[in-house]
Amino acid sequence: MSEILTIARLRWALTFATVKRSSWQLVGATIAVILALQAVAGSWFLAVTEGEGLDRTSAADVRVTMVCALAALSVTVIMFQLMVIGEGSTLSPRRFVLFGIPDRRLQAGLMVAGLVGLPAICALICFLALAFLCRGLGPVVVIVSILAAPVAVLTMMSLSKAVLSLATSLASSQRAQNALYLVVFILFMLICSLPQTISPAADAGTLSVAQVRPFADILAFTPLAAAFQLPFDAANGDWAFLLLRLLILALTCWFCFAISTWCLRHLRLSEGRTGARNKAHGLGVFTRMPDSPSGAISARLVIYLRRDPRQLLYFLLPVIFLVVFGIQGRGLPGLAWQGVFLGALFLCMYTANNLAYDGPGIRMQVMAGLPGKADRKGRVRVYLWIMSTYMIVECFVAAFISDYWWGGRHLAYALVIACVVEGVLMAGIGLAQVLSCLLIYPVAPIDKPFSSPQGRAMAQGFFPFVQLLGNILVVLPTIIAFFALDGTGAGGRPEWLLAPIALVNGLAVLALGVNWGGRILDRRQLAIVAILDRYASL
Amino acid sequence: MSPSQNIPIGAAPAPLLPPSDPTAAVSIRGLCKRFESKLAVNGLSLDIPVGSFYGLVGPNGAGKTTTLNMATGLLLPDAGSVSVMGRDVWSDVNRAKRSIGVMPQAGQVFDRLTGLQLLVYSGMLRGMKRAEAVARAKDLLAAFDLVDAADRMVSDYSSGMGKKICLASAMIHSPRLLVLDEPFESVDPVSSANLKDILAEYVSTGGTVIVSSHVMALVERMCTHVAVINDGHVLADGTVAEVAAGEDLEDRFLDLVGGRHAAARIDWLNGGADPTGPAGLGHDVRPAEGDGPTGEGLDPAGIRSPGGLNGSQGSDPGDGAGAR
Repeated sequence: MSEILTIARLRWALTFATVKRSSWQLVGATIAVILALQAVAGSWFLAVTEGEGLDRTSAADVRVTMVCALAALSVTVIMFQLMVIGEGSTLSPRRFVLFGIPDRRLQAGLMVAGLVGLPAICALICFLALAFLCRGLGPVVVIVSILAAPVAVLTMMSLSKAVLSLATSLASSQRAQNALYLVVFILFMLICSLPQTISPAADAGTLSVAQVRPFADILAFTPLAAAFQLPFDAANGDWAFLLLRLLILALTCWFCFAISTWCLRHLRLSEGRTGARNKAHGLGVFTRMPDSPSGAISARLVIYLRRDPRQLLYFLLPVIFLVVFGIQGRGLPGLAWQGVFLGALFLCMYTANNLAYDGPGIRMQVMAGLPGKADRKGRVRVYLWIMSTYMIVECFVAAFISDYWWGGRHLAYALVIACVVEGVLMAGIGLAQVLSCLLIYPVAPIDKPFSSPQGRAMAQGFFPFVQLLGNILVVLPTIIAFFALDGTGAGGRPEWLLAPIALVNGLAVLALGVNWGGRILDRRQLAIVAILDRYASL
Repeated sequence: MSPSQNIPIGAAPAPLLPPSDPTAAVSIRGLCKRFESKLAVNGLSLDIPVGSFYGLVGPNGAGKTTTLNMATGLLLPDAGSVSVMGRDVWSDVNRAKRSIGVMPQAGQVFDRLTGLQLLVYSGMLRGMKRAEAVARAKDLLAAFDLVDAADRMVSDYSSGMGKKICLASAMIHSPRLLVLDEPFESVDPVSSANLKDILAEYVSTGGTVIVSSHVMALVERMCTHVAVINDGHVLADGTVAEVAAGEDLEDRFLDLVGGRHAAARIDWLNGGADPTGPAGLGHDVRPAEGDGPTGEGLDPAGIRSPGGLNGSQGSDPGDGAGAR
């Protein structure tokens, strides 16, 4: 028992230690706490307003909503854990291997550590607040709701830990892990867009209760949502179903615990990845890059983009956005272009943390005395070449999907949009060359893309938005021109002027970004090395 | 060579330090670095002659790595100066780095590159043309017995191979000064001997090597000069013979840094010798009468301490723990 409590205490000790090390971590932690308080306040508000006058008739619709919401939340938590939060590397089971803690006790400790974390505590309080929603159905229903809250949190935690343990244990080779990571990410994005896909934008994107009731009825018997069905079983007097669902939840938790424990054992006994050794002949892409220090940076970056799943998945995002928006845009063909813009913005967000992906290896260029501008040029060469080509192809596809392909005014408009996208992309990459030297947040190590350095979630939730907002700011000239020229062309002004304005805007920001980013990198290189060394130890 | 002038921080009116030696490979004067409450380097001064194989030794936390990082432009000092080949490092750090080769640690390289790619990358970063970098990389791979692993990712290398490729990456631009942190750790004896030959050859052509190491036998065998560092300043420096002063270098090192004490005999740490029960579970395992090292007894906590239990001076011939 003492080991379990010690591991739980360890989680908070590490969290506080991480927050103390960096003011940015403190900012991120503060924001996380504020968001948690907002979630609690929102839940309470919902319970107060929606519970007003709730009776058995209106409870049927509320039931459908709550069941579907919990199911969606459960799936999101599982997927989010896999991709973004992941298995905390600081509390990785490998760290405990020398202590000889029995597998069950260790797994219990890790589970308890997860349950006492901020997200779990926030979820519990929110669910407890939502219990007040059922006050119109009687005190018994409220009591059942209160008891169902910790059961829901425990079930979500168990499921996510089991899935994560399976993923990291069974994907034994690096290639399998990389593939799994990418597949999970794609699935997550597609699931997130499911509601809009079912009800396309032309129908105002709403789903009726009647549409989802059949799904809710099924989900209510699954561990994903059974906990939120319990109060309504009590309200209807369906005690047999209530007991059945409790049994399902209990069995799920037990089964997930067993799986996680098995994975711990498997990991412990099969330590040491086997797999084909990775070979490459000769210099590879080094021969295709300029024979200069910046060419070396470009070559190294291209090689890493191929072998690094953390970076690779960002390049899948534009395709996913285009597919999702293309499907959602049934009836609104122009919606596909939103996917293109969003893809461009997300690519820029990734480049804004490019140094973090290099990790302590950045020391090689600091030791070599590489000028910062050479580094920025080398990276921009690769980003621009790959991303511009990518975006141009996307624009062609979007033009096809949106029927802008067939010539005339629409084709001209498509070309203007393509130029604007390129301008936004160039401006974003330019801005990223500056921001990446100033705002660096930790990323998972390359051999453990599922893991999460302590404190990453907080910084990762905040820093990318700086790039996003900054991207909008630096393309203000283009935005102003859009409104001045009345970009839809309906005002009779030559909207084609938007194209050169956007390109010049983008090129200017790119050039400034490379210049300033290089200077900032020169001045801050030692601090950056220290930051990345610290992140590597997380 | 006389002991270096060391000026601790906070001492009242410190004497002026002699100017940096322009003929030295590395000349350090009054180097200081503080990390929050810890003073890692405390007014350290040192001259490293050109063409020397210089060993930097000291206990953990002595300030060796911090000193080397400051001397090679990788960590900004709080005070003091460093010059390499007569030039102040911090006035033009990128220029200084061109004549320095610092061996990175295994986790500080891009290990998703192959061995050949890593070396070429290292050379090109320093402004070498690709063709020249490739030629030198191939020479280094042959010298370090890594030809068969040239096309394998560095992440698939063993720790010894990783050390070798890291050392090679520090040498590709033919620096005048090589700085190596624990270069022979995890390297097998054959490879270690080959590396030593390469480094000895490098020194014989006028290069200077600074090695930070804990292995006294290595330092004694390979180094021409040594500096003993502790608590952020130099305790002794000079040729190996001068510092050893007639003793074994390791013994001299231990005398200088201190901290050595008689082995503490912990009551419950008995390797399971007690037949009545497992050790460490509340069983007081008292030694048999006459057992135990000379002059030691038990304190109330059950841990032996000097002074003796009852004045017994006997020692059990079979007990080797107190033999040192």
